[in-house]
Amino acid sequence: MSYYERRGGDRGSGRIQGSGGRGGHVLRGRSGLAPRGPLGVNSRPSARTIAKSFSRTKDMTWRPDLFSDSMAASGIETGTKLYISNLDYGVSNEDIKELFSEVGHLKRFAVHYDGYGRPNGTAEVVFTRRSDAIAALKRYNNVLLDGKAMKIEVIGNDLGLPMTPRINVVGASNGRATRTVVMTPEFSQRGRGSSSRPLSNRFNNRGGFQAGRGRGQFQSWGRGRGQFQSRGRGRAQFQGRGRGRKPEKTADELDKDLESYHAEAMKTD
Amino acid sequence: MAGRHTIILMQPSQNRASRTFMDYNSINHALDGICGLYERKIRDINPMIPNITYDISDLYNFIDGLADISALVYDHSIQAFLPYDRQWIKQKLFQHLKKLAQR
Repeated sequence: MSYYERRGGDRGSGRIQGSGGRGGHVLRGRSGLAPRGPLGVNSRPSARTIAKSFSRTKDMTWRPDLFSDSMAASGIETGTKLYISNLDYGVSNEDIKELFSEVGHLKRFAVHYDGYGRPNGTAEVVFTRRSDAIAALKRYNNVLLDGKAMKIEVIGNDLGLPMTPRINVVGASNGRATRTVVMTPEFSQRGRGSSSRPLSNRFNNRGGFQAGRGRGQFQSWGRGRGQFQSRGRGRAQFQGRGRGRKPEKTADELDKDLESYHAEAMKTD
Repeated sequence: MAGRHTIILMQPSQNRASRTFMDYNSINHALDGICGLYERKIRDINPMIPNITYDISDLYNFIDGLADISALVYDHSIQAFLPYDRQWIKQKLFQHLKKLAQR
């Protein structure tokens, strides 16, 4: 278990540095433009203050334990484990690594052996990202390897595969909507989730549609990411059910929709 | 965890002028706000449907479709905001919705 804790700390450090490198934007109040300074609340545009803010960011980078504690408290799981069975006895660690590294970054991989040092036909692989683990599950489950079909399943709960939330919103969109969440089984033929649905609870989402204390718009100048640089992470590749209407649109159309929608939202506020 | 002031920084499209932020009193309220963004978008596309239903995978696709989104969560012990990325937001959304289902 200490292995995972260490890994969590490393990931936290990476995130801190990423944030520092990107440079922060300071907002004073809720609207209007504010001077910029990383993680500074009331910084001014003088070079000395900006330098101090940057040094403050550097101080943050040397506290990975803070982030590991925060991640542990949040219950963020580091890595997604796949359990592979029905393997041929000739499959080695390198074979497993070579096969599953094609899908994504592996945090750990191991072929299981019995007490006499002989492989028992099972292995485990831990992916850094859950989307890679699910992609590997779809790609390699029941695929022949050295003449035997691999059986792959995801280990652990709360991984989104056995039960996935489905959200129902009843009512008008003027803030009186009621949000109901039910857990529906997905990939039930592979996972070990139960088919029974737990009782759902209604949640009055009155404040959800108003953006808390309001919203503002800001523009950034000076250093920062390129204007058209988009930062994309791995996509969650769940297969949704055929319920409801799911409009299929291209990324450009979605961008236009979001832009027009956002313009409308700004007008209403 | 109640009472942690949360700011959501978001850029919905490639246009830099679309950058905006929203702030909430707690992480749970912020997650509800993100769900509300998606639901409002669905209602704009299908204005005649009285009730909508969607999987969390649809919500994930919506979040991945944003040009950029991140969160700042206030930590009382250090009296500063901690930054979190898109992946953290999706994981917290799953936990949040799972809690709602279990009540």
